[in-house]
Order: sequence, then structure tokens, then C-alpha cells
Amino acid sequence: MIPVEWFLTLSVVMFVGGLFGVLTQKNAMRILISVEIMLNAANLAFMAFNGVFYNADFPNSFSASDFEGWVFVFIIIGVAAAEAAIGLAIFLSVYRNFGEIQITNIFTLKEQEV
Amino acid sequence: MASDPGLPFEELFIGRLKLEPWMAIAIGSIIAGSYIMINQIIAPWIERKVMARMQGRRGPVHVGKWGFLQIPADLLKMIGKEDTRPEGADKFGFSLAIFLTGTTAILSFAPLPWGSKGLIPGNFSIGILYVFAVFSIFPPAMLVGGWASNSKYSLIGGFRSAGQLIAYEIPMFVSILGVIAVVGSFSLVEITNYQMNNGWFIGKYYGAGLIAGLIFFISGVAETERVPFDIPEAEAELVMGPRTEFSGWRYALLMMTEYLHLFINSLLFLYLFVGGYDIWPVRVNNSPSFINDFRMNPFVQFLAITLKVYVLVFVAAWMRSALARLRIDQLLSLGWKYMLPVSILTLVVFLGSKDVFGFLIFW
Amino acid sequence: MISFVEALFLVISFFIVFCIIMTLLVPKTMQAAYWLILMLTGVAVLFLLANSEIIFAFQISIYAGGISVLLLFAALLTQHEEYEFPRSILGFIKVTASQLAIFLIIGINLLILILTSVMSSDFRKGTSSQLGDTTLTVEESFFMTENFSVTLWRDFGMVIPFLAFLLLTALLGSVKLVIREWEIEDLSDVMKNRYNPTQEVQQ
Repeated sequence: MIPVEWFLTLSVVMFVGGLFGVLTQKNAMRILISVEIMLNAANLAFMAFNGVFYNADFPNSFSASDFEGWVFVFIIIGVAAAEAAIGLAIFLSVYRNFGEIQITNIFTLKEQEV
Repeated sequence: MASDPGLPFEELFIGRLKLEPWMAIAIGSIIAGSYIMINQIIAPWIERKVMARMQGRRGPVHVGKWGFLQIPADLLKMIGKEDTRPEGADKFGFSLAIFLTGTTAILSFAPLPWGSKGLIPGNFSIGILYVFAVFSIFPPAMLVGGWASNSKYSLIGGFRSAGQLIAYEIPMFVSILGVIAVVGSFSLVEITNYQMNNGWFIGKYYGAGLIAGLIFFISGVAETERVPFDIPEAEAELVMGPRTEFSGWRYALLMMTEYLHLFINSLLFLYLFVGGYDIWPVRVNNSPSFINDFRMNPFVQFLAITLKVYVLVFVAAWMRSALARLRIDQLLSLGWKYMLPVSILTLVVFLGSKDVFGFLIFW
Repeated sequence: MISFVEALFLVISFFIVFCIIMTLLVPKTMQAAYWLILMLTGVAVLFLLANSEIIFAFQISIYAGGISVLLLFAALLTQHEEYEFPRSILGFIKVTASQLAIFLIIGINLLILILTSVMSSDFRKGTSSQLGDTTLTVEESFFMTENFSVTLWRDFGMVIPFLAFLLLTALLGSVKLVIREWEIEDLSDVMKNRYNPTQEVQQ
């Protein structure tokens, strides 16, 4: 059996790595990639907690609450697919209008240059 | 619940030789893997011979009897060649594409049963989903390989390979949905057992099974990028598509994966619609008779699935010599305008027949 | 003594962390995308270690097969300013030392927060870890997948329609965004030159 702490430690490391990418990168593509890393960290934590909270006689009987974590992971994967499709469309649209997707150079909504 | 197919060669390995179960599984997997490797050397030879005869040529004749050893000879030649990489290529991506395509092609064979008595490397609960999941890594790997080759032909080929995904994937999944819903399991063992007891899906449900099978076969041809859907590898426009810059053993590995994909596609079509390793399209009755014993014999089942696969290899060679390539917009309109609505209709007929007309099933 | 599944977990987690570091360090966006694919397959294997075959299949087929194609397309169809970070790890640390320190503090705080709550006796009382269970038989894994499907349709019945409408909206919205007609005069100078029809005639 793998201790649940190992899963959670890895999840925290992944989450902080993704957060670092989101807050420091300037390229919108890389920000989306970092967001995917953070989503995967959350998925991993869900799976780890689901693996801990099985009922007592685990492989022999199941109840609906034994699969809540799996359902959440399923929803997150579906949402991530939608998010990636929207992301591609927005990047192409922004690229068409600005010629690049560096987020520091796209400041139409601001009053002046930074 | 799953019907456990048991361990490979249970009588011989565990009964007589007293081996551990994991050793029996390992030996069975090695046998199945070697069998696939040998077959993927024979299949190109058959394809070349059939195509040559259809075009009024003789095909390979020099190496071995009837040119039978032509493919191993080519393989040796390719492995002996210099390993070249184009200037400016992305080193890691160039290697990654080859390793991803090669390993995923071999891994896809894990849940495919070769007979009813445990001739299966791994009986997963997600059988068919696993095959599709592992198979779906191929287009991004080809896109990475095409980009990493630093060549315009490779890049355009990679784009087409990933863009083709949009056309075939949805009709393919919808066409098998009916089979999975009727059987109630993803496992290929369960699906084959159901067909042995109730008749093959290709002849059931008032023709809907046949149409779903055809849609699955056409989408499978598009997935394996063979004629008439070899849009990524259009040799007249793009030299060899995403494979252009790969030479030597890398090219050998790519050709190997191409034939492994042909096998996977054929085997999935057989397991889902044509009864898998079943030899006779009628229901099993449980009375002990010669025909039932013959049918349940693992060796006969092994030969039956091999024979069926080679029929489909012949069909693939036939299509390759007979058909012309479609354009990408023709493929997209075929996928979205014709195959998707028809596959949804077949799904409705499958489910309706199971629930309403279940007592009127053919055979 | 460390068991086989634990050793496997450690190897895969080091692989994942290495892939994350590479996605941050590599000079080209395309390279970051394919390192992400490798990381996603690693996470899929961890899902398999957490007894879930079907989530493994979803992760591989949707993330590594579907989303990665979209990301690769997005990386290839847009232009990027490469070399955002120094390539070597030492240079990376030198440039981003203050940011790294902040994120290290955040990470350590998060880790302490989670681990203290997980290792407390209140949490330990009602739980039994089944992660990396190697004693599961074929029947039990079939039973688990079947029960997950039943749970998904019976107790979480609105999940599938919700995801279906979400994906349909995303599909239609992204198609609408991409095929929008645009005027060349509205574009920036860079793109105006690129889409200038007179240049195409000259070529």
C-alpha cells in the first residue's frame, strides 16, 4: 500500500509548480499548460482521498460514496477539454488581431502602455 | 461480473510444469508478442504480393522462396544503415515521436484475447477503452515528430494526421457504442463470449449491425492512415508525410507500427462485429457435441482469428491497389455528414432491438 | 523495506516532477507542450496505482490524446517569443530567485497544512488506505468499473448532461470565434502586412 501522504506531497509539488508557471510566464500558451498541471494536481489529490475513504470491507462491497472522487476527476477532465478548446480559439483570435500572444504586450483595455 | 478466462496454457504450465501464475502470464504474453512480431513481418509480404498480382507484376521474388524473406532482409538492411538526423531537428522530439508510436502500438495488444482459455496478456475491465486510449497517442506523437523533423513536408503531414482525427473519431466511438451497451462490458473477452452465445453482431439487428461494422471499419482505415485515407502520407504531394525525415531503424520502426496499426484495427473489427475467435456464426448450445468441442478448442480459435486477420489484410491490400485518395474536405464531409448520423441511427436500432424486439433477434 | 508499488510510485513521481521542471525550462513552447504530454501519461499511471482503470483510460484518451492535440495546434498556429527563461537550471535559479523563494514558502505551507491534517489521529480513525492495492483480482476490478458507471448514472445523474452541454457550448463558441469574418483595416500593423492581398498578387 502506498501512503496517502506521498500522493498529497506530489500533488502539492505539482500544484506549486503549476502556480509558479501561471504567475511568472508571459506566454499565454505556457500559462494554459501550467493550468493543466494544476488541474492534474487537483485530480491526483481527489484520487488519493478517494482511495483512503473506502468502506471497511473494501474489495468485497461498494457503495456510491466510494466513487465520489472518481466522479469529480471525470468532471474536471471534461471541463479541461472544454477549456483547452476555448483556449485554442481565443489564442487564434488574439493572434489574428495582435500578431502575438505575449500577454504583456496585449493592453488594449488599458489606457496607456505599461 | 467478469468471466475469468483463466491463465494461459493452464493445463500445461500450472498443471504439469508446476509454474507460478505470474510466470504463466509472462510466458503467455511473450508468446503472444512474438506471434504478433512474426505476423507483422509476414503481412507486408502478403500485401506486396497481392498488390503486385493485381497490377500484373510479380512482386518480390529473389530473397527466399517466392520472395518470402524480402521483409526480413529489408529490415536487416535498414538496421544496418547510418542513423541520420536532419540539421536543425529537435533532438528529443525526434526520438520521442518514434518511441511513443512504437511503444503505444505494441501496448495496444494487451487486452486482445487470442482464444477463450486465457490466451490474453491482460484482461482489463476497460478492454476496448484501453485500446482506444493508447491508440489515441499516435496523432500527437506524429505531430511532434513532424514538427521536430524541421521539414515542411513533415510538418504539413503531421498537421494532416492530427486534423484527420476530427473526422473519424466521433463516428468510430458512436458506432461501437451500441455493441458495448448491448453487452454491458468493455472487456473484449465478454464481447466475444456474448457473440458466441447470441450470434455475431454483423448479422444482427436488421442490418444495423452490418452498417455499424462498416462505419467502424471505414473509420479504422482512416485511423490507421491507409488508402483511401492516407491523406497525411500523400506521396505525390508530401514525400512521405510525417515520416519523411526518418531513416534507418527509425523508418523500420515506423513501418512496423503501420502494420501493427493495421492488425489492431482488423482485430478490433473482428472482436466487436465478426465474433472474434469464434469460427461458426451460430449460437452455442450447451450439449456436448463434436462441433462444440471443436469450437471451444483454444488452438482452433487461435487459427480462426489468424485466418480472419489475414482476410482483412488481403482486403487492405485490395483497397490499396483499387482506390484513390480522398481530399481532407471529402473525408470531413464523409465523417460528419454521413457516417455520424447513420451511426447514431444504428445505435438507436441496437438499443431498441435489445429492449423491445429482444425476442426477435436474427439467427 | 520499500515495496514494489512504492518504488514504482517514487520513480513515476520523480518523472512527473522532472517533466514539470522541463515544461518551465525548455526554450520553445512546442517543447513545453510535449513535455506536458509525458507528464500527463505519468499522472495516468498514478491513477492506475490508485485502483482506477477507467480514470486511467479517460486521462490517456482525453488528456494525452485530445487536449494535447489542441495544445500542439495552438502552439504551432501562433508565433512565440522563445527563450523566456535561461536554459540552465543555475541560470534559472539566479534570475527567478525571489519568485522561487515565495513559491517555496507557499508550497511548504501548503504541504504542512495538508500533512498535519492527514496525519492527525482524527483523520486516521475512520480510514484505510487502499492505494496501490496489488491483491485486487480481475473480478474485483470489473466490479469496481461497473459500480463506478452505476454510481455515475444513478447518484450523479446530472454530470453527463452538464458535461455534454458544456462541451457543446465550448465547441460552438470556439468555432464561432475562429471562423469570424474580419476586416484587414481593423488589424494591427504586423498582421495587416501579413494579410495584405496586394502582396499575394505580386507573388
